[in-house]
Amino acid sequence: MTRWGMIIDLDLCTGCGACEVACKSENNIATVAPDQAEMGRAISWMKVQSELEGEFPDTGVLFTPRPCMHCDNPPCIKVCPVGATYINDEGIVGQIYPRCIGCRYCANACPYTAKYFNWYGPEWSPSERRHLNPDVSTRPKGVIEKCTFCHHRLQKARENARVDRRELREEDYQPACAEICPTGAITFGDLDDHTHRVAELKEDPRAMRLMEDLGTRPKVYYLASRE
Amino acid sequence: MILGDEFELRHHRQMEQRGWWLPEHSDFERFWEELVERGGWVDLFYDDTDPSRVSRRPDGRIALMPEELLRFLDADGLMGAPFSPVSRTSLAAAVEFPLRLIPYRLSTLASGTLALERWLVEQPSLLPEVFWIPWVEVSSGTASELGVADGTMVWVVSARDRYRARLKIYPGTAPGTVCAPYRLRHPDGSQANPLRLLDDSRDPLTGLSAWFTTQIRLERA
Repeated sequence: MTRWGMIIDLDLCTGCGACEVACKSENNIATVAPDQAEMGRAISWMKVQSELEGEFPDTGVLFTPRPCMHCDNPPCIKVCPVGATYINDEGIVGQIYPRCIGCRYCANACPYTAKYFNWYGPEWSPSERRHLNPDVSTRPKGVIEKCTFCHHRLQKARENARVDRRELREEDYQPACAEICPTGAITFGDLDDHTHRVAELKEDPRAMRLMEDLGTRPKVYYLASRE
Repeated sequence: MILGDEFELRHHRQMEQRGWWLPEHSDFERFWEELVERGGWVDLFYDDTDPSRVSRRPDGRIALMPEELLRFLDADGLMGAPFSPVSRTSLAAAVEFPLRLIPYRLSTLASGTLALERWLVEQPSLLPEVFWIPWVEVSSGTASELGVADGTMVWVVSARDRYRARLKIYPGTAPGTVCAPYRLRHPDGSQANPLRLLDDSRDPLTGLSAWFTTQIRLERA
């Protein structure tokens, strides 16, 4: 059975933020007004978190890109009263926007703060509207949204493979963040397929998952910094 | 021989078979015609340990500074200028403008064409984390000396101009300096350009504006 997952090598991440921007562009993520952003309502499905140490000139920083963890045991699903959030057969945790009633239980249950609420409807300027991705629906006011591992790309990749009469290859399906990362810090693939790099990397001695003790069994692994 | 004598020998033979070995020509045009005709060129006897092949100086050393530039510097009496320290601020100016301005370019807005892209302006920087509002960075020591807290709106003032920005405390900033990203503007469209604050200092070698010599002060906005 396919289990899509991601490996993020923290030693390779330079904190450039390209994954954040690529994600926003790919998934039609709306910006919020400045006062709303100040209240922590900016939406960033892929969020590069930073941890600073020391003072000038001995300053160190660790960047940790944080998408949805697509847990195998996701707490967000358990608290949703209307079945708007679900996990599919391939391990992708999705969100059904028309079903969501905006109770935000899932956002509170997620220990990784990977879910975002739309306090207002999205607003697009005419130039932005022309750049919206037609493969991704925009979200209305009052619903939760989150990283989907760009699963619209999976659908497209499957269709292309079917047309070409071949199996789906590892490189056919890559989320926008993994595709754009200039240092190759993000690797994506099937965790159960030993021909995929992620299957090998998750066995690396440096591999760890965030808050493993909670039993959420995330499918995003980090290769911890050597230093 | 990097890959060993046997490899080099075979490699040379291959080059000869392809006709790429072109003995020296005194006439460049003829050499070029032959090179284009054969599709390649190799000098089998090139001695890369002979410095005279790349240096025209009698001692074989390679001059990193072009002769033309040396003549220019000598004529203008600027020979030592590129290595001279930045002129120190006068005492009076240091009292009025005690901080040094360090303008810098954000990687997210590096091309200069994306400053109106809302995805980027909403979250232009990871360090420090900011949203929409132009900012300047100071160390915690500098902030406490000034008596301002993280997030305070301040005027960045030089002898030439001023602009408004949000103060962010960032531990990577050197004490006594204010790091200021450029190519930002406020949501209402007003400019926040640290380059307008720069003094008239010029780099003596290039004649370009010296970016890191301007003294400023911060005032609560």
